Amino acid sequence: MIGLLGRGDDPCLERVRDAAADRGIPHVLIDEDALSDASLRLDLDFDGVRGVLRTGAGVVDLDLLTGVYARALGPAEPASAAREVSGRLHEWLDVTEVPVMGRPASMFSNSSKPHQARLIAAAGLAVPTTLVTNDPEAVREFRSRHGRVVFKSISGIRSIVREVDDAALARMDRIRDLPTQFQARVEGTDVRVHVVGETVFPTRIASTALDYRYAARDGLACDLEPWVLAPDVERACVSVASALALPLAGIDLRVGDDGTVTCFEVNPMPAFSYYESNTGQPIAAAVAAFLDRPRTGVARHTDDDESEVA
Amino acid sequence: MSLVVILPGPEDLGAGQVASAIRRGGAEVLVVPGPVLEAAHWEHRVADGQSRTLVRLPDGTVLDDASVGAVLNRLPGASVRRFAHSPERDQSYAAAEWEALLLAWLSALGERVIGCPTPAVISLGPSAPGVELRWLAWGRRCGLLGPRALVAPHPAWLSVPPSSAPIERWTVVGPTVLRSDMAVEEGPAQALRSLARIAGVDLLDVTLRSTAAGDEIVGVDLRPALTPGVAEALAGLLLSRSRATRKIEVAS
Repeated sequence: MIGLLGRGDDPCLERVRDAAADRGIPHVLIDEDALSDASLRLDLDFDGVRGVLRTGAGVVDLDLLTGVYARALGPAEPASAAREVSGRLHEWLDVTEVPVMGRPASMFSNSSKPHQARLIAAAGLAVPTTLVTNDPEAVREFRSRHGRVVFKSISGIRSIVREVDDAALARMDRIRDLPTQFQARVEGTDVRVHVVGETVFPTRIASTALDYRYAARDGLACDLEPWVLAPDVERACVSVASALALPLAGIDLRVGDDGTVTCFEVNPMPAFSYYESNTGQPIAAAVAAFLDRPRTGVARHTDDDESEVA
Repeated sequence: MSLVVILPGPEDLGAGQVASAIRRGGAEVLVVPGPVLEAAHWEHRVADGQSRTLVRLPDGTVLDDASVGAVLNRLPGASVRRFAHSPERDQSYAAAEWEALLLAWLSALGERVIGCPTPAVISLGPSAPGVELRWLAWGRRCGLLGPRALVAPHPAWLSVPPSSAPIERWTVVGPTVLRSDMAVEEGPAQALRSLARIAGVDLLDVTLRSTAAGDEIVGVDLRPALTPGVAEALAGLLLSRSRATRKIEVAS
């Protein structure tokens, strides 16, 4: 049995649940938005931590799960009791021997884009030439050397990628108070690659937007389609995900006309539902199948094929 | 010998003792408080997969990857003093951005840094509050006891009977284990070294309760006070890291 942990209305969670149901994979949903009457017991022994979650709907022996898909965001509107159970579940995700997609600790690399870029490069994918600085003069020199330059946040806080145009350059003194990340603009086509274990799902994104995630906001089109990468690029994507300890990863690539591949970042908790719904790529099914690998024992819960705990 | 940089926390009165001990060891040392670091000129570059950082402090001192031999990071986070009057949301964003840059710098220095944040221990944040599940789980792997069960949402750990057994603080500084500020080898020293290794940290304060069944973890602190013994041991560790860096540079 596989465990699905997160908010019950999370589209990714719903897709994995549906994929598991379609394939007859036993699964249990642990809805973080419905933990107000839940209790969690964690027992420590010399060979690990064992957890049992009880709610009015059923009982789950967490350590008998074959794997867990977690989008551990916590309750949307937490009551204090639900928040504490959820917090302890997140702690369990980080220490359990059960295979987990989405361990909270694995989000760490994404907290610093230049830190993550160094790890990505070491694992085999090229990254953009980057400058993080609070010196306007260094930015001007960087722009004169590289021509077109974009800027974005340094941390994992999402920001809209914008180009350093003349207007932005005129405001550049503002960075004296706070360093900003600048990158030489890379021309080419955006490809989002979802890695599930050793399986890759490349999606090509056709858009004229600088940041396709915000294409609609800027009134621009954005079309997604399944894509095929060169085998060595696929292997590099798997290597990068493995190096970052991510059995599930969303890797943002740009592929130049000459085939040059550049990696911008790796999302450790990718919202793959957007890509799957636009392309039909069976990402959720791959997640369910990855987690449905034999381990000893079977989870105890209320139903045979599906249970919603909480 | 390369430069040793100390990034003290706001209340690190012992940072001066660490610096003095390093100077006695013959190395150059620089103490850079967080607000001074944030007032510096920064250039962190990534090119061809390699990163390189240059920090020019307000007094003109330049820290670059070649000159820095070792770093002791005790910063609990970014101070973002320049944003003191900004909305809380802007302060949080500024802190996240500064901490992301510090992580990029420190992680690229690798073994040279004592106190670099890791996935397991984000030490730029506050000291570990009490005993988290991960510390108890790691402690068990090292033979250290602790509470045997927890039930949430109840806040307390179960199976911890009231005890009058003595409580002592132990500090791990690299290979050195101190009790009452003195280096020791007996008791749980080896287990504590193993605990630090599993957590991926060089500096760790563990409060243990000694019982008939064994030593129980009562508390963990990732930023222990820089007492004279800890300061001396840290200085030795920083000097050895700095010398190792120098050897690598000479060899290459």
